[in-house]
Amino acid sequence: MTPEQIQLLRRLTLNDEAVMSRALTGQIEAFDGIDARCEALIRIAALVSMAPDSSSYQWAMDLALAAGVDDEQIFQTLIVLAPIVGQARLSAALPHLLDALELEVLEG
Amino acid sequence: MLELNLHPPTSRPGIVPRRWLLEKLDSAGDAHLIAVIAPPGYGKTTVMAQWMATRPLPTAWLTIDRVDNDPAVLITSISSALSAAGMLDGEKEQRTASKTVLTQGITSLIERLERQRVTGMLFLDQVDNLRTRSALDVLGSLLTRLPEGLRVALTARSGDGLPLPLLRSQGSVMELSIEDLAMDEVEAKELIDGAGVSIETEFDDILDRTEGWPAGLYLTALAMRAGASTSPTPLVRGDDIFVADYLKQEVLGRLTEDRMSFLTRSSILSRLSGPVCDFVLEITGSARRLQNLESSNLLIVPIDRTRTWYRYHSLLQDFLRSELERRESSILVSLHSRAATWHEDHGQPELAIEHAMAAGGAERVAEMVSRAARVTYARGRMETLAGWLTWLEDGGIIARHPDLAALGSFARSLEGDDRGAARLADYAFVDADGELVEDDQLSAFSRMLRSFQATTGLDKALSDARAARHGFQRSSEWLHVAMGAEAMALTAMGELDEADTVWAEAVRVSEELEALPFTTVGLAENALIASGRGDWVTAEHLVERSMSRIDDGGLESYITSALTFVMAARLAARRGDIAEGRAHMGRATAIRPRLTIGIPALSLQTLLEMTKTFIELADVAGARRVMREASDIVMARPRLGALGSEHAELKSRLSALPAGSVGASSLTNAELRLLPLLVTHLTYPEIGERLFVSRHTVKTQAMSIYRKLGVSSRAEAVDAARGIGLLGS
Repeated sequence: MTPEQIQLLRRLTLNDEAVMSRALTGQIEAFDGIDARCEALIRIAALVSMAPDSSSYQWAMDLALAAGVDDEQIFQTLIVLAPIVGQARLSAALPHLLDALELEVLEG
Repeated sequence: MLELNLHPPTSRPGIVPRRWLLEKLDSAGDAHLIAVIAPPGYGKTTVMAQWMATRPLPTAWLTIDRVDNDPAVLITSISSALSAAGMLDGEKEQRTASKTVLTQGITSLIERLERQRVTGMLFLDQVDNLRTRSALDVLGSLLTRLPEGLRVALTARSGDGLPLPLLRSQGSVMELSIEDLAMDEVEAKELIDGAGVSIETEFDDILDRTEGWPAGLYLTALAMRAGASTSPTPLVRGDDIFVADYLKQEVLGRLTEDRMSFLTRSSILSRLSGPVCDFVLEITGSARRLQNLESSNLLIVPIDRTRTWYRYHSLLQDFLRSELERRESSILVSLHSRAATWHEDHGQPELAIEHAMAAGGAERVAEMVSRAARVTYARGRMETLAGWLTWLEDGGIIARHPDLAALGSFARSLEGDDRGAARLADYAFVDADGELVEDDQLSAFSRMLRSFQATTGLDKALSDARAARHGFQRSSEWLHVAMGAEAMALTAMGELDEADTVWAEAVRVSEELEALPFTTVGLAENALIASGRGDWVTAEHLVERSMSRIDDGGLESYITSALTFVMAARLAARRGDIAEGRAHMGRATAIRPRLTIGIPALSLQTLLEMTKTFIELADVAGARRVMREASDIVMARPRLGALGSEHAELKSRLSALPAGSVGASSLTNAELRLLPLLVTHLTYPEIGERLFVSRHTVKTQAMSIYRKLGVSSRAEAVDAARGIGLLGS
């Protein structure tokens, strides 16, 4: 980690409003090593644990697809996520995720 | 038959001029829509015809027919009415290749109206004949988006299905109802006099009891005339159910048996002329009988100036039909059957099939549908075709007709309905006992279908296509489609030289037939192969030809047009014209939801070419979205030869590219299906009903569309989508 990054984390820990607002508006460059695909998957994982409404899932999926994430990677992310967020969160999120991916896994 | 619907009924002696009603109509001022809504017998059509005669030109008239329940037919009828009146130049209208994109046709019509600054008044009579939701949606969209200068006056028995509340809230509608249409004393007197009856003492009583209902007054007058001295009870307003009794006992009761029989038997026809009645009733002299009926004022309406064609007033027709069923139900079948023959001989397959259905001759319907199917598809009458197929499917008839099942399955594939296609395909390869039929016993239709479906690999697809080609006669209107199947299989196998030849041959044959959908796909395939050889000049020329066929035929939404748009985009990209390239890709994207496993090779090939073109246009997100659809097809049909390898290659090429940004090309198929409906007047819940999804889903998808198009409202979304080709060119 660079000294700048450590400084940044410090400010965030202290709840520095100016830095926080930069972070919230995406003005802080992503660290090297996390590419667009990872970022998209992290976004999906975060969403699942937050239980937002369905339009947020669609946007996250669109970003993931545009970044080159494939369905399998999304599926793997969910498997990693399952024990952390628990069954209730996951099964609440899945219908929205499947809708966003236009996948029909249930007959009927 | 359409020609007959383009004029108001001819005026007859004895018709009462509705002077004060016309004055009221003239005072409509700025109202864009004048709606005359009342039950039968209020003289709605008469007052409209009288008003039209007093209006400054231009005015256009259209009597809505049952066939107009197919939105494609309705749009054609409306634009024909406007063209016949000189209000609209005869450009080609867009045809709809799918029931779900019906709005494309109406949008294109509205745009033509705006572009040509059409002014004047359009009269739409008997709008209550529209029963299907899709046709009503089309009309509703037109009424809520009437261009400045064009006004519509319509008549209907009720306002059901029309967007009247919305129009009322905009203050742009004037409505006439029962109260307005009821006759006053002067008019009532004139009506009764006109019927050749003189009444003295009972007049007040009659007017009172009928409450000025014109049909009641008229029938009472006829009853008095028929009954001579006795004074019958007047027909009371609102008692429609008593009309039948009244007609029977008081008005028609004294007609000769011969005349009654003519009336009842001919009532199965929606339009009557001497020749059709002679043929259907197996008699002579019908033309004279019709004239006599008219001169005796028996609720028969002349619908052309030469008095060749008539129709019964709906009150009379309803009664006559039920009388016919009561009196001679045994001859209904033969009457309908002859009516079917007459209409088929006179090039009116829709009416012919309707009568054949009424006659219950399932086998005959099946034959007639087979004969009419290809042209019906090419003319964009998907709702009509779907209606026939559903009738045959529901009746279990299609299971006994493998040819028809194959045809139906093929039609549904072309519409992108892969599930419907698969269901019908089940019947195409089995015999009456449900046993699988040996290949050499299968019909040309079934083999052609199996070739396009490519379920059992490309070798089989090729041999099926060749067998189908061999099986169709040289004169068959299906030969070029079988050639297309052969060329498609060769293309998928990577046998491009041979494919090139067969595509060219298919184009030649389809052009002779003016079978435009397959001409365009053939030309695009030839162009693609030429570009692969580096011969861009030939490619450019072929794409130009194909594009002009698409415009001529109004084939914007056909899946057979997608490859042409992709090739046009690629040529634009080569010229460095990125904006034009993207617009062509927008047109291809609008078709994307229908590129399914119904016709897997064509769909996959088109999707792969779309992917490559998006990459050329530096739209990585668009390329990845399309690739995902392509992968679904490869997953379901893994044996697609050279196309399969190309898919794998492209996929790895894509994975090396950086992240793309999400935009219009990233719209999901569900969003693309929703988009055309945003053009209409329908609310989210109403759209949800049509797409079989919840209101919430529609809202979520609409928000996602706005976000991808970078807009914040429905109107902006429509404008933006139109600008990039997503709602047609």
